[in-house]
Amino acid sequence: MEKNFESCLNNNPVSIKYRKSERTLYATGLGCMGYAIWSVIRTLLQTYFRYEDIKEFFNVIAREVVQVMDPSLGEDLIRLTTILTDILIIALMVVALVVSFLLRFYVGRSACLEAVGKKKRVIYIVFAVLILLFDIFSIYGAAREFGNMANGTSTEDYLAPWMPNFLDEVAELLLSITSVIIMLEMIVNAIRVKVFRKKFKGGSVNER
Amino acid sequence: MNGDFHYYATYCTAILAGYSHEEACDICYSAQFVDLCSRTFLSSVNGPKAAATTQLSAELVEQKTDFLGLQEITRIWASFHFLPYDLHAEKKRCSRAYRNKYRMICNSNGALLADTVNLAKDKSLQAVGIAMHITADTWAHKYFAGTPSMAINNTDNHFFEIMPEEDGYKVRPLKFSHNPGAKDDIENAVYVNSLYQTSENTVMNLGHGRAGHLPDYSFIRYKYLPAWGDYKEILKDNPSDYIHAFAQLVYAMQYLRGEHESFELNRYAWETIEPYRDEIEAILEKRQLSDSDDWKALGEKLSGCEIPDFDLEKYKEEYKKAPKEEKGYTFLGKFFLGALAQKSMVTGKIYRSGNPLAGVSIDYEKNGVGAVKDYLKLFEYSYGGNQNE
Repeated sequence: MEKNFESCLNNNPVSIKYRKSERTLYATGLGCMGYAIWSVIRTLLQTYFRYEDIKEFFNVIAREVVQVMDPSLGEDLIRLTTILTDILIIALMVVALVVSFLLRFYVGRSACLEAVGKKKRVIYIVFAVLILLFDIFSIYGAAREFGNMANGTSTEDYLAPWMPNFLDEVAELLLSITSVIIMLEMIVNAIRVKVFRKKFKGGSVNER
Repeated sequence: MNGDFHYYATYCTAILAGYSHEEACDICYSAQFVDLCSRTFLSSVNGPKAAATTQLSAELVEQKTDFLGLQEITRIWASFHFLPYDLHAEKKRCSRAYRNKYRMICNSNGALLADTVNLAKDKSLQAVGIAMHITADTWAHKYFAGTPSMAINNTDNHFFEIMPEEDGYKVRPLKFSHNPGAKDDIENAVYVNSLYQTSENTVMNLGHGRAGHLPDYSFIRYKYLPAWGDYKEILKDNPSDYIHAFAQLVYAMQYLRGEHESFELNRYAWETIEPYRDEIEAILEKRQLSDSDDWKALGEKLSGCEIPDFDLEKYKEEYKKAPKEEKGYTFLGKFFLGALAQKSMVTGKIYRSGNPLAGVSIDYEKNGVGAVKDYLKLFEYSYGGNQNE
């Protein structure tokens, strides 16, 4: 029983940093996936609670289409065009939502898998950078909107139903800032983990 | 630690310290009873609820984890199972709330251990048993805190068993499952632990729940990452810790019997246990979930007497039938007094260190007991003599 087992501990500064990076990467991966799910929920909630505004928006679109089109084409064709326009707008928004969700979910899941030792390609880090840029742009957009609200500048009428009110904008801003921090941490730690692994030429530090 | 150590091994240490068979039985019964004296038991004998030294799983499930509920939990677990090592430990760059919990981490040979042992001096054998339980647990439950805290008590899947080999050791990963009905599988290194929950104050994050029963198995050595450890691996060498606990129990009881003038930390009765060291180490290193049979055999060899099996009902009737003014002189009565004194001492120390986790503590010697009628008896206890009469 006199054996000293302290030598089995792996507490050199590099290993400690490596473990910290892995766990941070895992946490940010979960955060990214959580944000993806939240985006979908938020859109569904907005659609539900602002249904009348959205209906009015499509009415405005229909009036614009009627104004633009030649009346000699006939009422049926004009109505069909209106419906197709509505479908196109909805389809574009659904596609954008799905792409956003899938991208964030893929990036988050890849980060988690990388953190537990499974090898992942660099592409998810590239997507993480894209998401980071998009979030920074969102913050810029929100800041601009705050400026508009402060100046009393009115927006185009047809965009009015989609324009969030002040509280919506504050909430969106906070979430965008959170997402920026998550993505930054994820990118930094993903690179660190890849560099460490190349040095150790192995999987997770748990194996050492 | 489990019943095998708290009951049978404590009996062995009491015999080696010089107690008689009957005294050793009282001491080891009390040591094991600390793990069973719950509010449920106290209700069944109409005993003082404040004397609870543990909480059953069913009680923990119903236990509120609001501000007062957390204090209730901490008072019990920190006083009897996870004695804080350093109530003034420093931790840089953290909030006060975190520092308060960090200061509750248990470890061996802390200042509170000396206070615990000294509290039992010239008191009943039941008080000695309580002190021995607490002393043993400071070794087994090292690095965990007796307050619900994910930030302190959480662990993750970075758990490796260290198995000695001829010239060194090998390391193998441990796995955990959350099926409370399943048994720990030593061969395949699959153990049961509490469920991961992100809430800071859930009872799942109380004590060593996240490490399952690993701290209570004498044979196992492992390394892991505790949540408070800043990503550093910690080694838990249970065979070494348990033999230190054994030797310290012998030394502590020698002191309580009057063989030493004072109780010193980091001191062990190595000479006393030397003739039996090989047998003790063999029991500790044996890969089995319970060492009761082996400790019992050793204890009976040491004393030449048969050790009765632990019986929770043994002293119930004596306490229930005793008149009110004589309850304090029954076996359970003496235990309850010892428990109240211990809880009061530890809670007071935690409170006076500026830590609110165990709640407010009234210094009953200075200010009276207020509304806490259970503590009235402590007035006599604190000035009373040897309660073995």
